[in-house]
Amino acid sequence: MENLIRLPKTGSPETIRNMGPLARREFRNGLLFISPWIIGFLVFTLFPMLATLVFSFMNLRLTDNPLDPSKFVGLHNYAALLKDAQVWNIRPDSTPGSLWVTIRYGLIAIPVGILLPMGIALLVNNPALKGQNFFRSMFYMPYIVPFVASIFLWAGVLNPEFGWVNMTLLALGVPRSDLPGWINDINWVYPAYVLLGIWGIGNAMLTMLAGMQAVPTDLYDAAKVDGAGSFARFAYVTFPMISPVVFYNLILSVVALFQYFLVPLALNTGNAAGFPGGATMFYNLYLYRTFFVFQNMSYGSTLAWALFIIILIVTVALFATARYWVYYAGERQ
Amino acid sequence: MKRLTIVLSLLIGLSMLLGACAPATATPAPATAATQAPAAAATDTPAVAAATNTPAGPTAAPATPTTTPFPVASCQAGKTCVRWYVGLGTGTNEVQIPVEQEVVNDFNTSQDKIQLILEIVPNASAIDTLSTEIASGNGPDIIGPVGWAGSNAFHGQWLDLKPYISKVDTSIYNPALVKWYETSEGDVGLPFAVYPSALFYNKAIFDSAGYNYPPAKYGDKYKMPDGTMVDWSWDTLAKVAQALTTDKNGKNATEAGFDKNNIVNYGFTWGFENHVNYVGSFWQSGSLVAADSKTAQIPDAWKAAWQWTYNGVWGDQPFIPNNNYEQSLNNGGNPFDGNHVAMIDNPVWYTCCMTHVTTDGSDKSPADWDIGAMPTYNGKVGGRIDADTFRIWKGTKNPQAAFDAMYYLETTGVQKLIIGSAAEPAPYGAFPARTADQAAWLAAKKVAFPAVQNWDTLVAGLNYPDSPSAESYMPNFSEAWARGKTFYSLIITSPIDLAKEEQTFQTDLQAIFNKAQ
Amino acid sequence: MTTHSILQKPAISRAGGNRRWNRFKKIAWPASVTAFATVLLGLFLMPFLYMVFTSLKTQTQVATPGAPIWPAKYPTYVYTGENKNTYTLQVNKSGFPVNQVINMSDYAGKPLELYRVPLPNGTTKKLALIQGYQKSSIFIDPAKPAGDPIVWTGYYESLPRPWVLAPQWSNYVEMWNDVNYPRVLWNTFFYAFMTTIGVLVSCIPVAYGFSRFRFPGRDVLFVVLLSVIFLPSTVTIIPTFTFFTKIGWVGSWLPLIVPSFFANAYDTFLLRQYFMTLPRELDEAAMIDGANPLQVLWSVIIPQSYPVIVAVTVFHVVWAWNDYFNPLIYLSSRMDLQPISVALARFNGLFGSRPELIQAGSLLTLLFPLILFVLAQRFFVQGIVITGVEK
Repeated sequence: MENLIRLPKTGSPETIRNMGPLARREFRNGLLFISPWIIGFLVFTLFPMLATLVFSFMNLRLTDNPLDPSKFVGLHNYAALLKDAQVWNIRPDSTPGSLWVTIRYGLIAIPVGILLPMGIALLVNNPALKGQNFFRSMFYMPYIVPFVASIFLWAGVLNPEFGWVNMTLLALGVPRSDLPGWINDINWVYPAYVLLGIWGIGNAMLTMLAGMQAVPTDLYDAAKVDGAGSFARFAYVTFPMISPVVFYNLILSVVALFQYFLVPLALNTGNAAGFPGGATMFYNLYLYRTFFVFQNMSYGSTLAWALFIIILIVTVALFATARYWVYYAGERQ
Repeated sequence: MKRLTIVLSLLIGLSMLLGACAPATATPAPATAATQAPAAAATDTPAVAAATNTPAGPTAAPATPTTTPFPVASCQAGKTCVRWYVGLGTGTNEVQIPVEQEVVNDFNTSQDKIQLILEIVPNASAIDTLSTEIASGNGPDIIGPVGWAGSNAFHGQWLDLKPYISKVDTSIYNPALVKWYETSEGDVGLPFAVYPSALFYNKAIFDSAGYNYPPAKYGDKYKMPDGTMVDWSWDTLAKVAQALTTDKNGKNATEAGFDKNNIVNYGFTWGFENHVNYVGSFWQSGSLVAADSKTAQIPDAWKAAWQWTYNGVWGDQPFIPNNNYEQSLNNGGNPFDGNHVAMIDNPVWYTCCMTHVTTDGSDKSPADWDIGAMPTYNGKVGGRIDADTFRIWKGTKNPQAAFDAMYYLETTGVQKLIIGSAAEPAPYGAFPARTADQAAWLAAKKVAFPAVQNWDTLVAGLNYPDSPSAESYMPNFSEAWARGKTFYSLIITSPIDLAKEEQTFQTDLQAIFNKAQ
Repeated sequence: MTTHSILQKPAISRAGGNRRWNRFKKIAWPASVTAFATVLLGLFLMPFLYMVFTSLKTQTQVATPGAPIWPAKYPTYVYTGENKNTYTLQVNKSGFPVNQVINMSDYAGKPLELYRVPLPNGTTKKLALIQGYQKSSIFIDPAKPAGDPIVWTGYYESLPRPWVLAPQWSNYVEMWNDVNYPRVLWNTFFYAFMTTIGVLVSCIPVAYGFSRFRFPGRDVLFVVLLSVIFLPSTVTIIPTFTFFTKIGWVGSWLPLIVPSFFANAYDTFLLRQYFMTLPRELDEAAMIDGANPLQVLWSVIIPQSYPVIVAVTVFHVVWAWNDYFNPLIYLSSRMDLQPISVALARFNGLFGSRPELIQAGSLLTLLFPLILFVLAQRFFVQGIVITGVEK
């Protein structure tokens, strides 16, 4: 995290004991001002996190008393999780378990979620573009559309029979039998869900754009003197300089990926869960249903901690790769 | 510093006040609700099934939208508020909601102590929403119309109505129907609606192909266009349905050169019966759980029914719409509205509104449908009967008021909800449970749908119950039930390896059953 | 600190080449880049157009293959009934010719559907369908209502049909009433308003505390605060929901509003980054004049920070407008309190067969954030740049 978010080094690490009266007053005042956050953090983050962990070693339903010590079952839930076909089953020839649903979706969603905003940022940062401000605003604008509305818009455009996408494909000569069924089709559902969420790129686009604008122009000039073409300038100047922003967005997308479930939840209020045929039973949707629908509080907590650990592992792994491709200006050797 | 603390606490206090101002239902639930775990294991296997399924895809706008089809009401001060939760069974259709609201208004004006509040939830998420409400101690008071699947999903949550029922006259019902609701949880309801099944057919599509209508009497044979008489079996139905499935060029599915990517009319659909248990039960009654109540199984007849369905959707001569068609061209999965499907095997739900949207979209055409006998599998009719009623959540704070309102719905309310009149057809396509109402119901239906001849065929459907019910108990019921619904969506969504997917389904089902132990 | 608007154009010098290349770069290259961006933007924003078009269609049009993309309906022809004769016509129904009796008076006064029928003489004529079969269709000519019926060999469904423009503005009226729009709009505003107050009164002091006071452990706490942004909320939701259930708050506004008074990480970070850029001299001057820290916050920091406070406000309002999950779980039993996103999803579940109404409802849902964006564009951009680039 320190790598990711630089902290200005302020103050010297004194201990409370050898503080002067002034420092002590500053300490008291500082703590008082940040106390709403400290209380909120303890009550709404730290305590629930620990409670989730405790619940995962118990056998509780929502209506049970969570303080009942007789409900402890040790590692039973974790053993059940390791055997849960609805989580793990890879089933290459059939509907997969929820973790693989999530990963299959992520294999498309993450690259698109990084490369598309990067491409658009490059485009709207291009000095040749007339009306840059207009384009920047317009590419960002759909980001503020509530997702419940935007998924209905995209689901409409992607409707297999009447959506404009398939009507265009048909007009371009694609035979009707080969038209994708998009959100109704187990073979196309993941690209379709990526499109449903495509209006969410505004944030990443703007952060990358800001990163590109922070690149000192003398670096480009130097590259030009060296005879670098536009691709080389991107690869050797722009990308390294914005790589921390890319990394920041990558971490955010990975965390968001494993928690993804609101889109299938809101979209399928009138359909079978995981429609079509379980292909959208994302890990977090399975978790949500386990707790909120089937009220299995302990198994839900187990799924939640397993998710937390998975995210932690993936994040740590990404941080390990960061030293090979993320470039921090302060660490020039 | 002090000032900030004061401002902060004032604001927090203010927001709490605003939240707490929300009326009675926002207050904590009684302790009984919080300590009652929904029992995972129900032991009763009801003999007769009930509807959890409603016409999911509703219909055109009512000609004069005087009441909002999407009501939201708040509780008035000084009244006992009773919430009526609709969604587990029939009742969420666009045509139905205004009439339900009207009955609620009638009740609210008929007395001044109780305020009935209508709560409409989409059928597909009704179990989910109710789970959340009950778990948080904010369950509704009256729940219904609800069938056996709904009751199995919430086993242990129903109020025993014995003390209240004992004060009213139950002799108006067939005693067998009253006995149905005397379960291990107590007397959980009074009979309200019964749903025999039948084969609904679109006369115009039969006419345009010159085919005879399906037999009106159970046991009769079907006369093919060439004059041969054949058994009215699922195989025969498939052959007829293929001849009625037409592409854009007027070729039907039995002809060479048929273009299966441009189909205009389909021969058959399961319509709102979008669950593998329903499809299976129409062939032969069975269950996904073995007699030991914990092993997942798939009856052979059900596999045959699913294969038949799969072939009908994805075969070379398809006659059942796939999901794309069902949801888009067929008016959101409503084959009656869409008017492009020749036959639908269904309980009577849609006798509320057997119409279709006219081409200019402004109004509805009168029914061009009639009712035929359900086909046979191995010489026998499978069939399916649903029964819906109202139930009361055991966490209710006002059981007497809830019962009074419920009793109103089941007696006075029946007139508008089930029987209806020529001017205002009944919104619930159900057969009334009260013996005295049945003649009036038939008379009203004959006026509302003059094109329908075979009402007797519908009543004859009462002879073909599914036993065990398609909605009978499975361990971890709501999760297992949801899995079955998901599996059905897979069958009509994409070409798959059905045998492998059945295997996956059975494995998952077993895992779901195991969780209950 | 990058608080400047990134809408400012960067000055990047371009080296020159030969003259033709220069001219290309001056005219053709910007034109093609702009054209490409325009096409891309058009594709990107296309669903808005789809929404507007679809929301004005009839229920029939949205379920008819081959219908135009603009709002239209079929014209119909009401048969005037001049011809009262009975005909026996030979038609082909599903592969075998049969005789069919047609009684013309049966069709008098009925609205008939119009098709463009190719005639044997090679021309096409608009005819009204009176009876259709798989292999033959029987029409009447609206121009000659007294004439004989015309048998055309072929399936009427294969014929093109005329459409006339007919936008259904009433869909918006229907949707307005159906979702009880004034009610859900009020609920959404209330939710956004109360939580915005919560965010402002809690995040501003916390950000002030982090940016202006030196004390041991502060930097560690700040890292903890930031890491909450990356913490999956899934891992806290179960006990939180259980807790609110046990104290009876579920089914009221409380679980939605009260937590907002305890400073969320994102907005605190945004404010703190801005406060860090403010010169300390003014605070110190105020301190010397005897102001306590609260007075400094109130009369020195806040007056300098309106841009970031507005940015936090607009972000938060848009966030609240977008929030689906919290109202869904906490207000599931209170339909009269639900905000618009929950109401729209529920409407979609109930009325899946009415895409035209769902599109109208989506428009009503996104209208307010869109207006807010147009009015406060600058602040959105600023806020994002503060959080994203200061790494």
